[in-house]
Amino acid sequence: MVPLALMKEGSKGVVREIVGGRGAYVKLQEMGITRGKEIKVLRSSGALLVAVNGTKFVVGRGLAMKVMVDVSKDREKS
Amino acid sequence: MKVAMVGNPNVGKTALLNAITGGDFIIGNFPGTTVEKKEGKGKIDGVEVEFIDLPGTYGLEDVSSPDEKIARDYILNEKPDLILNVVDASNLERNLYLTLQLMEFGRPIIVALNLVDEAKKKGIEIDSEKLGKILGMPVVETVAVENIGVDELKRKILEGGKKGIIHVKTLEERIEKAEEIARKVTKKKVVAKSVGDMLDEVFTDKYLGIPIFFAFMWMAFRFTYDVASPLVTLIDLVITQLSELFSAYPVISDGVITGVGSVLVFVPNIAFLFIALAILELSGYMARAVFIMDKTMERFGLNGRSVVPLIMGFGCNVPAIMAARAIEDKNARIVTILVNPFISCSARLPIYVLFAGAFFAGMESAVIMAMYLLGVLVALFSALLLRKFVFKGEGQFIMEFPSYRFPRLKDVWLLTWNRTKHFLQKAGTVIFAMSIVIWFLTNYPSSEIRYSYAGMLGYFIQPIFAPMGWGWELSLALIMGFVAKEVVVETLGIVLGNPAAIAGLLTPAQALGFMVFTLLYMPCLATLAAIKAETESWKWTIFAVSYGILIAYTLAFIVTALGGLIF
Ligand SMILES: Nc1nc2c(ncn2[C@@H]2O[C@H](COP(=O)(O)OP(=O)(O)OP(=O)(O)O)[C@@H](O)[C@H]2O)c(=O)[nH]1
Repeated sequence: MVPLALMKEGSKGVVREIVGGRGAYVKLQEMGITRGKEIKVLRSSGALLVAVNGTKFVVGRGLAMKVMVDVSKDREKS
Repeated sequence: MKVAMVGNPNVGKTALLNAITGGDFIIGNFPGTTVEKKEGKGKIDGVEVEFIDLPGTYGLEDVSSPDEKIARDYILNEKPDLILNVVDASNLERNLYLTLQLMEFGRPIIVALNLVDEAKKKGIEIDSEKLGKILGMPVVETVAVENIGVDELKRKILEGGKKGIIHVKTLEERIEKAEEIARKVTKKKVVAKSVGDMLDEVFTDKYLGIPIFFAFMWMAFRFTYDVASPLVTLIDLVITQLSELFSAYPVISDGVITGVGSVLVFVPNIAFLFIALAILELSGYMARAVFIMDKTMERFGLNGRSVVPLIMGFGCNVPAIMAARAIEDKNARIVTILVNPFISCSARLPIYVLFAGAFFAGMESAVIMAMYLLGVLVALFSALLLRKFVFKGEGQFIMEFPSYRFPRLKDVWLLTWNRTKHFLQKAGTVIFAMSIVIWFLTNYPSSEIRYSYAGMLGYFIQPIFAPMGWGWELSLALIMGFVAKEVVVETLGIVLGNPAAIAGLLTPAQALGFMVFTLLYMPCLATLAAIKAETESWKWTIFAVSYGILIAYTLAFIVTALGGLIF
């Protein structure tokens, strides 16, 4: 697992965990960035541009450090 | 009957409110357009219905977010007769999360499944009847901007909605449930890559993104100054004529008309800048600009969201400071507000034009550009300092990209008018009153200005500015400029008879110092009022004043001294 902030442009993975405070967790859940969702990094320069469920989000680097993503080959929707 | 409208940001709540009530509320295409609740009254079949458009929110649990708090408090305390939950059909799963949460409040609900046209384009079809059965509530498909489904929605509103039959308690359960329901009612076809995706690839490109952003900004500024300039000339002409017409009454002609007129001439510039920004915003581009500029902004402790308020500052700082509300992170928001006055608003341009013309003939544009640039630099470095030493802590920043949409004329107008209005209010109130005051001060007890109250004040203050070599006339102009920067030129006009006469009063270095000082020294009264309202703190309002004066004085002194060596 790697933090979303460290993923390469164009790579994909499955969101596994949100670390850090409850605030960040609630916010991300409400916005649809939840466990088991596939996430694709479209751009990474300062903030990240990601796509989840067909919606694009700008995620600041700080927040993106808190999203742990499974990028292994045999990842499956859990 | 009271109906509360709740939904995710940018799903078309306000558009729907306008469609139902025939109202003219402002629509944006940038998450967070509705930052306060808006109320609209309408009659459906003779029944009086009161609609409350709550700020867009993804959920109701995050207490730190002011929008979510407003929405939740309203539902809890005011107990609306009906909740109209506006849902984005192209993003059902995420929107249903909020729906499930709303059901816990035990109020009757109607779901308006909006944006079905956009969903269709994305290959998404939703069985709204089945959705209604699962939720146990009426679901109506709508396209707010085309009035589709609005009549049926009105009928359903009169019937009163239902409480719903699903109850899930925790956040995790809600997420699961939303996913399950969405899966049951959604059919998705694969569609070709959309134009929006292609545009995004270009606009957010590593190399192209920033040049494109600056190209758009350059276009906006050309539009602001070149296209508006005939209108400026026209207004100027009208004011001169009016002033002559009333020349028998100097209070009116020299006081009010000249004073208020000197402000009104900016209205075209401001309005045109806001038209350009409204088009960029409504098309959806502004949200892309936020992404593009985030990296640069982060270097100064801000985030991409600060870009829009900073750009708006070039028009007028008052709406710019209000636009900072869209920044969720409190620290970043306050810093964006506090540094905004350093962005050179259009009211300061006449000062530069006057001085650059009088002292730097042949290189006016370079000098004026330098002023704008200096303003931006001071704003960014002040932000950096404030973030380093006062508003510490990293902000969390996340924003959804809205879809690209073709701006509608009416929406462009509403957005522009709403922002320009603040400027006009200023002209009508503060400037109006000040024009009379200034006229009085300069005409009594002696109509020779040197011996008038204004002259005395100028002489009294002058020693403070002696190091920069500014005389009593300029000192007085600065004092008057507390009210609004445009008054500086006006005062010089009254005191010297003709503003261009300053050429004989200063050296070029001193003139440059004066320009720097007026750029930075103090937000105008209207801006101060906005800072107070938005930061909700006297402390920070006073800080904005004292910090500004300190920076202005220091830089003006340095510029005058250095300039003296060069020129
Ligand atoms: N194509 C299409 N566009 C729509 C529809 N409803 C709204 N819009 C557009 O969606 C954008 C957002 O509309 P708003 O009414 O400002 O949305 P809101 O939910 O009030 O947004 P916030 O105030 O940010 O919470 C505008 O550009 C509207 O023109 C619709 O049914 N179809």
